[in-house]
Amino acid sequence: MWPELRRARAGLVLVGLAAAVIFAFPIWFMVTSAFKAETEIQAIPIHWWPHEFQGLARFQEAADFAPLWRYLFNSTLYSVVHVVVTVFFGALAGFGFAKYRFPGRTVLFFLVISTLMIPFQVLVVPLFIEVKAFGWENSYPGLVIPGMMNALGVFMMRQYIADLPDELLEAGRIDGAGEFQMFLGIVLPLMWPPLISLAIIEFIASWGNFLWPLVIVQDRNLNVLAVGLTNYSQPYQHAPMWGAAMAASTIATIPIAALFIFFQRYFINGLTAGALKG
Amino acid sequence: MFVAPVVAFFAVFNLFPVVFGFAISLTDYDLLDPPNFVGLDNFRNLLDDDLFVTAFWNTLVFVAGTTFPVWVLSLLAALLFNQVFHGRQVFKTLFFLPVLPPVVVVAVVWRMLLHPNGIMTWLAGAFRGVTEIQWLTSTVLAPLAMITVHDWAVIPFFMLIWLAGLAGVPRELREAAQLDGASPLRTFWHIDLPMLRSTAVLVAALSTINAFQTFALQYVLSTGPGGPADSTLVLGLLVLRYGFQYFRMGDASAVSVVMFVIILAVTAIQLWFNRRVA
Amino acid sequence: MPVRTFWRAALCGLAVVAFAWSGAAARAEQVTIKVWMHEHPPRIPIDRQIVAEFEKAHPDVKVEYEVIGVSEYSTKLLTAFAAGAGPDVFNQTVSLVAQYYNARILAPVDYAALGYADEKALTSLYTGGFQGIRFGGKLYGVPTEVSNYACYLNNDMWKEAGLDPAKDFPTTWEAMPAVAEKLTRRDANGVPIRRGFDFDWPSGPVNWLTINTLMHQLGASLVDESDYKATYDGPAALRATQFLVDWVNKYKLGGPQYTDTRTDFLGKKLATDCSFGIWGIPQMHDAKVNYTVKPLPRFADSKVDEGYDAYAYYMMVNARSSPAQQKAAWQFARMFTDHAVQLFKGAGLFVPRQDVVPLASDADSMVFLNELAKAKFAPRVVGYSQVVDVLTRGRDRMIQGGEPVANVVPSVNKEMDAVLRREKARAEALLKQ
Repeated sequence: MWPELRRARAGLVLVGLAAAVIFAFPIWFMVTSAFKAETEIQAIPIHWWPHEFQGLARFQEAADFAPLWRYLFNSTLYSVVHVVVTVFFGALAGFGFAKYRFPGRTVLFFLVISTLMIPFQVLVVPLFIEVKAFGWENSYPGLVIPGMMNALGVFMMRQYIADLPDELLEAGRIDGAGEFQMFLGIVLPLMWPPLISLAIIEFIASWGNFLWPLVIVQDRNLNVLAVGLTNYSQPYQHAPMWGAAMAASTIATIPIAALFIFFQRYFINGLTAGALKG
Repeated sequence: MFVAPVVAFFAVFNLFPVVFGFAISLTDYDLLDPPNFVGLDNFRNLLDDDLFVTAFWNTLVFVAGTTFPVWVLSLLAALLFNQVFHGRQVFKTLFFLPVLPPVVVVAVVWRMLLHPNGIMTWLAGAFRGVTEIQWLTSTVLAPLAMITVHDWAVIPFFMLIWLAGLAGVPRELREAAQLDGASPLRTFWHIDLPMLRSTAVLVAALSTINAFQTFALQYVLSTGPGGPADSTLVLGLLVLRYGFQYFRMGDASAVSVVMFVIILAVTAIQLWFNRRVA
Repeated sequence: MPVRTFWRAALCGLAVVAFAWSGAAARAEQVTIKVWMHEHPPRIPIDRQIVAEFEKAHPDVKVEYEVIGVSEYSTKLLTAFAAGAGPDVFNQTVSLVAQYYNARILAPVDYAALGYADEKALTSLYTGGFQGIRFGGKLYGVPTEVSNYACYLNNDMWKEAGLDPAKDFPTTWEAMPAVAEKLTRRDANGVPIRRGFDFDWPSGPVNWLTINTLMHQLGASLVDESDYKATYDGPAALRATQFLVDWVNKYKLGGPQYTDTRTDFLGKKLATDCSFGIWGIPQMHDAKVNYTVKPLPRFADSKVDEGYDAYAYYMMVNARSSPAQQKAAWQFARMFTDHAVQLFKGAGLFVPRQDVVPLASDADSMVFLNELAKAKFAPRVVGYSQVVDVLTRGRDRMIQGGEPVANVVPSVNKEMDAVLRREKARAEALLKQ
């Protein structure tokens, strides 16, 4: 169309390359440094890849210095419970709000949704005192339960379930299905795509959660990965262990990277849907 | 009732703590002795509390330094990757990488890169023979470092939102304009931008709210945390410091109430804009 | 039928009685005490051995022993006390005991349980160390470690620079910059790649000790402990602060950007360090550092001949525990302090006790002991962690923000004063309740 278009396209390739390099560089540096010798990491000029490839030695070092595998287990437990609860109860409540009329429906829905606007910093002090009153501080229930449900799930699932034709449910009722059976047998199977997207956003959110796990847990064996990671970059009376820090950081990034690689479409949909609707 | 467990959960772990938090903000409470009712004293004291004033100002600078650049740069990135050119998909994926690691990982990696004699100093200063830059230990550079790292981490995410918005612009409209001989810039200005209004508001609002709540980045990346000389102390960090370092629960709650009010105001402005746009 | 009912009832009754009786017996006999200690790795095996010995000597007491990392120890203690789940016996540093005393967490020493006739019988075993744990004329704990810093010189690095560590170590701060410069190696831009001497900057509590020590040498101090007033003002404050600011900005010999002072010394990136105590000696051997110990320099016109402030760890008992637990807790404290010799030999923890002092008679240890005899204790105030933060922030405003000393010191003093006044008012309000 325009004569300059070809040149512009070449320019775009260069700009795109530059943007990609700038944004990907720290991640590249993190992953490669997890396999470098400690002295190589801050070496100048930069080592773009490990000159003395260390295998998994840095990972071993990280696990020797702090209970890395325990952190990984705790993070996994924390995130899996959050995902399962948010997805299942989000769908259940979304179904309830979308397909049933009952007094106070609008008010209750509004109350649930309004929790999306509360910054966690507002909750942390009162929630801490509350959870302490339950006797849950420094324990798995205290760590996992208070944030295990995300109102975004209710909101998203209500939108999607509201679009389901009512006739489908009527047909189920005629067949004599109970309401809960209908939810399991008819609604859930039709909702897989949004459920997967929801599961992915909730996983990302809970995997990276930092503030609550930081304050509620004092026992290092109950720490999640996000909190435990800081042990390597700011160890007490010990020089920073950058190799171990990068190894642990890489481990903390792998689950999300895996979701991105294997569920790219749901991943992108989830992130945009979460933002657009939240 | 399907919504009952969900409503109960949010009542216990979100709505009650908000109310309870307001109540605590009216007391002097150190967890050890029973709370002492002090009325609005905590709020009055905030006004001439150096730490609060510093944190408030730092938060405003952080918000200003992140919102506008993020808005512009993420839009530019979206426009770039919305074009057709060689390697687009690969570059876009690389550009997207900073979305994957949790904030704490971002902070740990950058803490290493921003070592005074480290890689970033080498990249930035090699040509001029500079061998030491106090990225994180100068009161001028440290807040800038927080802003830059935050921007780096969130721009790819907001690019995604813009791309979703751009995908909603009917292709025919754009092609029709181009057939009429409009330049790409004019096409963008007259066709795309008007249709992206609600995305524009969304990106602005989300990035503002995000920035107001910033905390984990400062907690891990800054020295101190919040240093040097509290130049990176933000409101989110102050809640933590008052609550869980100084055990001044009343003051911590008062700060979080102020944060809540600000975030509600931003949300209200967003809704008002959206209504005007729609 | 009635017979069976009777027997059933009787059996139930018997069971209840038996249960109640065994319960009562168990309650009378079995006491569980929670023991919390800060993390100091070489001490932990000795702790475990003491716990085992204690349980053997007191079969009716069960000990739940827990070690907590230093960085999280004070937070964890406070949260636990707040939840009513605090330990029955615990150790903590002198800087934080005022807070526990004010919150009425500390039980006064129970001499009978501890096994001493009276206060004098206890304190006469020691040559000092109790002043940090005395409130209103009463003792609230026993010292488990009393410590102070002195300077360690890396002999090899000193000799490399053409200096004799035995003779050339400066006795005055005024002479220090020139000596440190000789020991410093710089790159082409003048950036130190190896420091000659530097202060331990990153830790707020050490910064507090350093400024307070410099002010002590000039005849002043940071706070007035009895009045709860900040006294970071006057010529001594300005001079001590100016010296630290000049160290970084004028002489460029180091500064807060170096975050690993002690590890840098052990890693041979720093030729001189004055932030190790007597407990540093085994670490020097482990790191194969060929070292000399010297007392801290003074100002040329110092009014007071004094090195680093002393600090101590005390073993204390929770006043909210049951009487039986408190008794067992003091018995545990006795057993622990009876191992003072082993704790010094095995873990480097020095206590000024009659039986420990003779063990520290080598030249290096004597430097610490002589300094300790002259030292004042670090002040004890409620709101300690807040005041420490105020001080560090002020230091960074001057050193890293470039603000003039004459402006910052008065504003820091005002801020510290505000914190202290608030904490004092709160403490008084609590006493009235």
